[in-house]
Amino acid sequence: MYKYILRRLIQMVPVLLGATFIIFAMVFALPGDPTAGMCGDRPCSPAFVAQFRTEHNLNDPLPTRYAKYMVNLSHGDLGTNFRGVKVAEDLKQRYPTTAKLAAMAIVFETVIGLIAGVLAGIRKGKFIDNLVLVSTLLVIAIPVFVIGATMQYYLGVKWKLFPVTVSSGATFYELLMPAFVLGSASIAYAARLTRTNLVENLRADYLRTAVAKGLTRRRAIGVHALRNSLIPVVTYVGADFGGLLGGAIVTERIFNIQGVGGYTFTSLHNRDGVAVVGTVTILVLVFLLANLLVDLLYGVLDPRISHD
Amino acid sequence: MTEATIVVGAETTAPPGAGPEGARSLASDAWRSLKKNPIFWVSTALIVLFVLMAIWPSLFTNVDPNAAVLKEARARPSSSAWFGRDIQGYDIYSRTIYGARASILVGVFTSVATVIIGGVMGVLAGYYGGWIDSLVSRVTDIFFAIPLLLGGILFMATFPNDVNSPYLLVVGKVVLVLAIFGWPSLARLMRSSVLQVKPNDYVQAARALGASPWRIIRAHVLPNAVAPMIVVATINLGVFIAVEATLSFLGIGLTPPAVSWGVAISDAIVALRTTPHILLFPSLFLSLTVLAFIMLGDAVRDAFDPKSR
Amino acid sequence: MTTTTDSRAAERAQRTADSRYIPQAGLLLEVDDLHVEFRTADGVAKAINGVSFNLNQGETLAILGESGSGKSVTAQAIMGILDMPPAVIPKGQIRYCGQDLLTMPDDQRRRTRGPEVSMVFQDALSSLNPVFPVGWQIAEMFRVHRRMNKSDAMERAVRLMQRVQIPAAKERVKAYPHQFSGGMRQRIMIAMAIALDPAVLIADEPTTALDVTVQAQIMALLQELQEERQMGLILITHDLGVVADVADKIAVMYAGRIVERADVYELYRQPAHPYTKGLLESIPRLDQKGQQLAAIGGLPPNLMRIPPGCAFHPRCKYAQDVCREDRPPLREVVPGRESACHFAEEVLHG
Repeated sequence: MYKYILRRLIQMVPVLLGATFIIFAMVFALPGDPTAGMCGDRPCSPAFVAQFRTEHNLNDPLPTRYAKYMVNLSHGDLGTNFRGVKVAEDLKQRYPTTAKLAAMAIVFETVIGLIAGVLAGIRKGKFIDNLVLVSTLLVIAIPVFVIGATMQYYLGVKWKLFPVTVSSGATFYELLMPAFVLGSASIAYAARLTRTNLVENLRADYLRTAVAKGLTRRRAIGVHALRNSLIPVVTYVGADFGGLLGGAIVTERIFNIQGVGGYTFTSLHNRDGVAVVGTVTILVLVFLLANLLVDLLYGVLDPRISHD
Repeated sequence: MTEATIVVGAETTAPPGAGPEGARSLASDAWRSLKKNPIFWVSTALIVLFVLMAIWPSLFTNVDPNAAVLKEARARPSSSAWFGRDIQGYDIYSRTIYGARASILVGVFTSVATVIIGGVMGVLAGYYGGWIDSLVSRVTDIFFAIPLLLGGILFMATFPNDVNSPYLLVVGKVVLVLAIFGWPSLARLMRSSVLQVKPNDYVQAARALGASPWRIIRAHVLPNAVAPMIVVATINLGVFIAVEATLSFLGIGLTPPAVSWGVAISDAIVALRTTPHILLFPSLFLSLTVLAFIMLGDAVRDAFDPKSR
Repeated sequence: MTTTTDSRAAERAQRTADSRYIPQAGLLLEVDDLHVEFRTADGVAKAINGVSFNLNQGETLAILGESGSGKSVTAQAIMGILDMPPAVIPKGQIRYCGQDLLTMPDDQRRRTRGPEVSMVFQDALSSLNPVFPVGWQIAEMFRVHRRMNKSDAMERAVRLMQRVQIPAAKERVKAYPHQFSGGMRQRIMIAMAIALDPAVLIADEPTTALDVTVQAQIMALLQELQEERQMGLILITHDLGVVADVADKIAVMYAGRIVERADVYELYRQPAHPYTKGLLESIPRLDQKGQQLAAIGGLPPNLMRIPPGCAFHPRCKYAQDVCREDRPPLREVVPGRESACHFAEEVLHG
């Protein structure tokens, strides 16, 4: 088991390097002068520009800059953004908000997705099944920003059920609606996946055995079939984590949340490459770790998978 | 636009007698059950409709999408403007019809590109194995590690458009970035399909008879491994269309004066508090398109999956 | 039958029986004119068309038939694990210790599964849940039906695994089904089925998925357990060879009906139904070396279109006009021998 984790971590290194290099190359190909607009309306003094360029290694060729950046990164130094604030500091402030948002979205995804999927699966072909199938299809088909903006308008502005935007404190209550929006498409996918798997497992031989053992229907489905149906759903939820991180950029923009997604977007807008690369590198790292965690969980949930 | 007809046609015109008559092949079985599935026909009809809209918008409207009637801005639906008018006073019906082109172009070209890249990579990794597999799989992992939307945002923000960027260049950029970050899932799928097909006797027999790898792949591996990828690519087509709209919403995809659903939705959201009806029609069309491709993919998948029957 | 088994039967009867009905001592199960249909979009498949038999304590009944003969459906109907719909039981009774299982409230019926009637399935790999340890799956019987705590139930599971001769049972109790060989998995299935000491054990093709050498071991184990616990054992199989040594009585099924019923030795020596005769002639025999094996010509009937008259007549070499019109009832040919054939005497003596 430990060997497997170690091997996976080692395998992760080239992937992380490759992914961050792509990001690095893409971001630092940003056209335009990074010092533009830093000194008010006038152009910056040549001395300032020179100092700034050395400080950020802007004169080195791209691979050298990348190497220097990665060396710093390995010490936990994500660099300083163009406003002179450490990116790590910025992220430390914003990460908890996004983490809370993503965690709540995942909770919505698993709880609502599982309940809807189970209800549909055990009543296959009945009203509730069709309701779940149609509503999930709608949620998948409507872009998340349309759902977000519409919910914000109706639930927030018009009917005043939820806060319209999220304050810098980002309380649980404020994040409820954004988290639901962020997770909406995934809720739908998770529900459909649960339903498909449950329907398949309800036909399985071992479920017939469970009934022959004299178990109640509740136990046969709730313990035997559900446990098997969960495996692909857990994998999906984990793999979906990356999508959530990308989606957070949209959601945080709609609800004006001061999180990592909003930070990425603002930094991109300000052509603040260091901040963008630092943020996205961390996002990719989190995504890769989440995938590893899912694989490990997969081994725990399905004993047929061996990590030895 | 020919690609659109090929992709759609691949599903709709699968000849019922493709397999030898008598021995019912999987494909002809699948076609028999598809024919009976109303969802298949509804989604195909919708797709044909939207593709027509993309090719000849003038078939559906003779109103110029760029003709603004400012004094009627934000007008509600009426007999003169069926879907009403937007903030600029443009006819929403006409703009919705003309907006189909961007979405369909992005969806179709991106899907075709991901099928080509993902298919080639998957076959390379699955068929040759060994160090080629390791290399291709690691490269796939690298691109997989960057979520589609995140990659799209980074790329489009790095190479921003200005007002003068030609329409096709912007569409091309969106297609490029979605293809770059969209192919890995197809490559993984293709690799596992090839791995499943490869040990079969007919492939081994062809190898023993000394057929060239290219011939084996073309004649034996691809026909038996390509179906799952086509299904997922069809579903992804809808996803790409949604991502394109999201980029436009963030202001880094297509930008005005280009006419697209994403741009229209983005504009409408600004005005949501006063005139919600402006949001309805472009969203509806966008969702119907996404829905049509997802349902088509689902229907084809179900038809090919013996367990679902 | 010993006195201890008699008192056990009486005790069971007391526990479960309907007060108006006093079962004959030792009589566990009565299947009476059972009908099962599968109603699907393509039509109605008549899987069982009036099957009746009794099962006594300590008795082994083999039900023999091709696939589609209704033997497995009979087992599933007794067990109450048919999917309804599409299955429908339009007619018939299944009495356990005098009480009709088919009209019993669902929850009461559920409680009989395991402690009273239990079942071993054909493919143990797919019939055991892949994600739970085998010990846990056996212990579940005690936890659900006996409300035992975890450690006691596990201890009982280990003892059962030892009883069915699984080596190193204590260590392997936490292993998962895929970590066992086919024979060992079937032993686990058996351990689970006998956990609550059922009165009736149904084994549905228990050895079909196994190697020949393992088949014999599993049959021997079943026989041993059956004698030890004086269970009524129903053995469902398509393979005459498997049941020859174990069964007391054999019922041969064809197209959802019992066509012949006899003592196992009598049936082997002299079949009284052309179908049974055909089955016997299709088994290779050491004493008839060099003769060509005779397979039964034709195919089993489509259950949606069972031929009128005797369902076997299209494949029968004894068939006459009467067979196409009149369905022969199951009747006693000689004492202890029953056959559903117009020409049973000729088959028997010919």
